[in-house]
Parts: sequence; structure tokens; C-alpha cells
Amino acid sequence: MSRRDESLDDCQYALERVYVFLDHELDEASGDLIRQHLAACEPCLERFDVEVAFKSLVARRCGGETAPQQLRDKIVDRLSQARQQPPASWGSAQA
Amino acid sequence: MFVDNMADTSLVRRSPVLSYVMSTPANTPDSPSAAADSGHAETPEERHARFEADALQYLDQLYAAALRMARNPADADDVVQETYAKAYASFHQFTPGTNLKAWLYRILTNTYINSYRKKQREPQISDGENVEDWQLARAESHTSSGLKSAEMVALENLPDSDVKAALQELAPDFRLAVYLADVEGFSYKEIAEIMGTPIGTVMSRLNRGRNQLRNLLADYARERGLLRREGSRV
Repeated sequence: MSRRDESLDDCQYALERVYVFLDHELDEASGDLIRQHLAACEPCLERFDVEVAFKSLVARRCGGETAPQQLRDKIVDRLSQARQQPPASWGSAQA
Repeated sequence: MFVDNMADTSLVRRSPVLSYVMSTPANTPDSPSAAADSGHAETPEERHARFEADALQYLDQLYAAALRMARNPADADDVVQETYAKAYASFHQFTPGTNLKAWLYRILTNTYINSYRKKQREPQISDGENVEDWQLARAESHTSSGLKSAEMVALENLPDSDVKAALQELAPDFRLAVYLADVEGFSYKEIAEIMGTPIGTVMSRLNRGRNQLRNLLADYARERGLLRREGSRV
């Protein structure tokens, strides 16, 4: 196998595992292989960097809402009602 | 096969991914309240206090997740209330010291699916979805899939409302998987438990959900003139 093919193999190995790797779900040995490859392969590194940026974009922009105070009050109220008359008022609910 | 070459420090410094993967996962374990292991049988009052102390701290997060699931804030409000009602009623079944946050998310997800999704009659996505297809959707090369750095810059300039709207366009199961992984930082195993699916299905949903989301966001960016229309396949 030519040198070029080998490096493409490494790239494919890394790119197939980009999400599993970034989600911290890859076993350590495979993760080490990918880290070594990224240190040597700029195009893969760029691709991984973009995926990190994308994950972070979703994380920063898609969450973080605060529950309305009214909702918090309602839940606290219902909890204390449920404590006083267990388990009828809320107790019909089954998880 | 692999170049035996440790990451050189300059690369680490300017590469987000290398600094990212060298940090530890964002997951933090729940801190069970002291009442949980005090040795005597817990009174209803103690259990109530423990529920308030431990479960209510996730209210904002559960509400944000419910907003992603539901069609409107009123439904999100209802789903969250019902979630806390059910969680309270079955709190005696929860094992202290295990993952309370994931437990609450599972109740939230079930509540939403049972009460609201049925009403909306959204199509269930199962066609062609299987354990292996995350492997089929693999990247063929550096250039043929995924965003480039310049395109990512364009996405960063989108308003929050576009990013949320794009996420909302995903099929519910894809949306929830992406949300649980990227916003909440749950592990695949936790997501599998929350969604009641095998881990392979979680991976498939994440793979497809992220790809779809990326394409949708690129569309939004093009509509806003942040990305060139012609040529750039994203």
C-alpha cells in the first residue's frame, strides 16, 4: 500500500469516529490513535475543530432558558399540597 | 500505520479540539443530599425535603428541554408540572445516589411522548433507522462532508432564534438526542435510558440529527446572506 493510501486510511479512521470521539465515548486506545493522527494531519484537525465549534454553538444557543417564576411557584405549591394530603391530589400520577 | 508523533504544544494551543479533548467531560454527578444515607428509615417529611432540595434544582434545565420538545411555552409548562408531579409520586422508587437528573429527564420524556406527542400526531421516525446506519453516514473525505472553518464562522453569526428554530425543525427523536448530548452533556448510555432505545439508535439519531441541523443552519445562513449560495455544498 502506498504512503498516500495509508494516510487516507488514517483520515477515514478518524473521520468515521469524529462524534464518538468528541462525545467522550471512544475507548482510550482508539482515542489515542485519533489524537496522534490529529497532531499530524491538518485537514482532519480542521474538521474536528469545526465539529467542536458546532457542538459548542448548539450548546450555547439552544438551552439556558429559565423557568418562569410562576411555574416554579406553582410546582412548589403543588408539592406542599401533595405533602399535606398524600397521596390523593397528585398521587394518581404514575411515573 | 499511525504516525507516532505526540501533539506538539503549539498545535494544542491553537486547536479547540485538542484542548477540548484533553479536558474532562462536562458531566457532573448529582450530589445526593445528606438525608439519603443517614441510616434510619426516611420519614415522609424528610423525603419531601429531599425532593425539594434535589429535584427542584433541575427545574430550569427541564423547562428548557421541554421548550425544545413542545410546540409552545404553555405546553412546556404543563409537561414540566406533570413531570414533577409524577417524579414526586414515585420518588420513593428512586435510588439515592444514582443519576437523579437522568431519572427526571426520563420522566419528562415519557410524559411528553405519552401526553403531547400523541396529540400532535407527529410521524414516528423509524423508517430506515437502525443500529448500524451511523456507520453508513460516515465521512468520505475532508472536503466532501461537514462544514469548513469559514462556514462555521457564518453560523456563529446567526441569531439564537435561528439556531433554536433549526433545532425545532428536526424530527422529535433526532432533536431530543442532539439536545441531550450537546446541551445537557448526557452520555450515550444515559440518553439511551432516557429515550428507551439501544445505544446504537442514540448514535444513529445523533449522527443524522447533527448532519441535518448543520444543513439547516447553513440554509439559514445563506438566507441571511452570511454564506454564499452557489457552489458551497455543506
